[in-house]
Amino acid sequence: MENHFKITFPLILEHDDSFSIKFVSKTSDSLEFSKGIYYLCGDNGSGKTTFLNILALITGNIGKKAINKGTISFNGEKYNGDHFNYIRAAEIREKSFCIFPQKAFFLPISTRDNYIILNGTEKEKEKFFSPQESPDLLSGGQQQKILIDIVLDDKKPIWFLDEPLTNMDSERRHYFWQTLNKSFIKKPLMIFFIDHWLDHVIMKDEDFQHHVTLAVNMEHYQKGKSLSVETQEIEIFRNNAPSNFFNRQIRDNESGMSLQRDESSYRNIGH
Amino acid sequence: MLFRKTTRKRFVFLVAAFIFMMGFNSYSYIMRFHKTEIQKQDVLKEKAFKVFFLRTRTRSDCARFLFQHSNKLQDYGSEIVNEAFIYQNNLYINFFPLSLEGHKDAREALNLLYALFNIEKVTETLFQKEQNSDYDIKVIADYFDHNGFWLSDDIIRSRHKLLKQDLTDIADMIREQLRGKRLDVFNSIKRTIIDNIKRISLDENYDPNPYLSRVEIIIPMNFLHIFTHIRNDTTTDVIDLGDSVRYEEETGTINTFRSFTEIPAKYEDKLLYDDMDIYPRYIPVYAPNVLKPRWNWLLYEDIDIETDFMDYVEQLHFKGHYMFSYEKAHIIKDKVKKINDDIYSNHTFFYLTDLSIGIAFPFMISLFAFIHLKTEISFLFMFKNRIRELLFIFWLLPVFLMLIVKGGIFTGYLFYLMSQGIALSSYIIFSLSLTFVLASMVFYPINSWCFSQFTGDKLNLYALHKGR
Repeated sequence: MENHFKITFPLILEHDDSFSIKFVSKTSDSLEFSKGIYYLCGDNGSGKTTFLNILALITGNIGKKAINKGTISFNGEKYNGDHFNYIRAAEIREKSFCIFPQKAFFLPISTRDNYIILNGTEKEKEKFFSPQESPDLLSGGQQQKILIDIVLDDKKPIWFLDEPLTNMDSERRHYFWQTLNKSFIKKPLMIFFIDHWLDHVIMKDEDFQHHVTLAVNMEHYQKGKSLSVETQEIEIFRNNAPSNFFNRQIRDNESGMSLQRDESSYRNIGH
Repeated sequence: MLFRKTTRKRFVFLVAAFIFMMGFNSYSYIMRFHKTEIQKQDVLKEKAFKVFFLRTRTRSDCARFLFQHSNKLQDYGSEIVNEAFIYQNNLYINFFPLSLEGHKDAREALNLLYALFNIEKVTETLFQKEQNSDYDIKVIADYFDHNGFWLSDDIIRSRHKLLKQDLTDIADMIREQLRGKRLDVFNSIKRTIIDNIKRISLDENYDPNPYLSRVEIIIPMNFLHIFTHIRNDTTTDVIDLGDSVRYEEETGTINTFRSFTEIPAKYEDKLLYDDMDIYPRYIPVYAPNVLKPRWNWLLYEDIDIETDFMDYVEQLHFKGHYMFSYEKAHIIKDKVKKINDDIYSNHTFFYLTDLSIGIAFPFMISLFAFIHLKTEISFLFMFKNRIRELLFIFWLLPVFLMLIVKGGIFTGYLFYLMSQGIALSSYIIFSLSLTFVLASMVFYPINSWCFSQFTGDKLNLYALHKGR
């Protein structure tokens, strides 16, 4: 069965009676996601990450006590269903979701042990990770590369990628797009993607279509102060067959890599 | 381990503090338990606390007492022992020949008295096995000095003299109805017995029971039976009567009719012995169930004192039936109260402290783990469904430590008991197990609560992952 999300708006998330965020579609009361890559475009603080987190079951209210009028259902299973609880959420995350968090983080053990504990699905792949190297000592870019290797798993059909390219050089970006391309060829995936540097590329890309515009209303309550209300928008673009896009990104980064090599050689000659 | 290196040390110290506190508390409890248990067993096993000697002043007083109180005493699970009494600080007690098979089991109270005065072995040897005929029997002419071991020879001699005077007085009372030649024979026999009985000291290692130290001499009551039988035996000619009791100097035995050593028919199951009516006598009341072990709500075991019986005995004291039992009754009450208070305070203290430590420390451990591991755990949960395992591990860790500590200390205690050859009730396992099970059960929801941010209906992994 093809994996799909169905969202019924409004989606509301409240934090300790001090903050609430409400997502509403500008075009209809419901929204569906199925195979393909979805690019979320919006300003800083517009709620892109929160929206992905709600979809990925790492934040939000679940179960029958959830106050949401709207809901998310994954493959027909509602997040605010009567029998949905934290155990079921964890089962879905483990079985179906790849989550690349905005903030690279590791357990305080070697990279190999990180892989074994967090993924560990392929014995052969274990050997590529160092049993001694602590990921905490690596640079931001290296950490992101290792996190990609650990987290991204084509056995899981839904990927949530929150700014995975930040801190990455052309070589590692090239590696990232190759990983996505190979995985997509192997098995069609549903990929949610956030990045701040690809907005103009995506908007111009002929394979991406505008999917929906989400209006995001944020309300801050502070004791003794008046209610602060802010409204933002998130544009979501969709590409059902992203192979061409992946290949273009791979090529672009290849040229970037050769440019980097040229600059490097030029500096060496100059010196 | 998911902890960072610096946090790991703090966690280990917290766990070590938990083990130390739990171990110290359990050890302290077991030490006090051992002390009170030894005291409790001593009191429960004390033979002297199962028998009370109550005073009756005269024969008619004794008869009245038996009439009024024997049924009531039976209602309280006690019985008057008819085969012994204390007269003039001397214990007169029936020694039964071994030929009376089976009487020992039936005479539980008398066996207790034999054991109490350490005369179990001498009762077996009083009657010589080598017998002349079916009608005759040889009896060793000995009495037993109960607490004369520490006394000087002069005092012993004087006591021996007093004993002989007592026996003479008794014999003189018995002879009242004898006339003429029969009296001569009686006096001859009296001299034969009284002049020839000698003192036998008990085992050198034997310490007289402090609760019965007023008993000076133990006399086989069979000697009195001989006098009484001679007075009552009207079928035998005077000449035959002279031969009926003979002292054999070489063997130190008295050769007499077998029937003369048995309880006279008129005294069978009675304590009157009207021949001895000058001084008050103390009759033994056997009360095997005055003190019993008692469970209190399955929390601890202390001593249950038969209050009704003790109150009844106290009433008897006010009516003049006191002396040997009066002090003992107070000693029993005081001892039982003190031991029960110690047992109660030890167990109360243990239950409160052990449950406090067994719940508070695991709670701190789980809280510490949550505070310092929330980022790692939330990151882990993004990829793996390990919620049940996490809750189980942080529940199991302190529970397992408690099991190790308590099990280790209990096993050590059992080894100590075995090495010392102390046969104590090991019911301490109940209190240790009870606190263990209770703490484990109570800690289960507390542990879940510590990690409730991972287990509620409000998912928060993203914020926790950021260390918020």
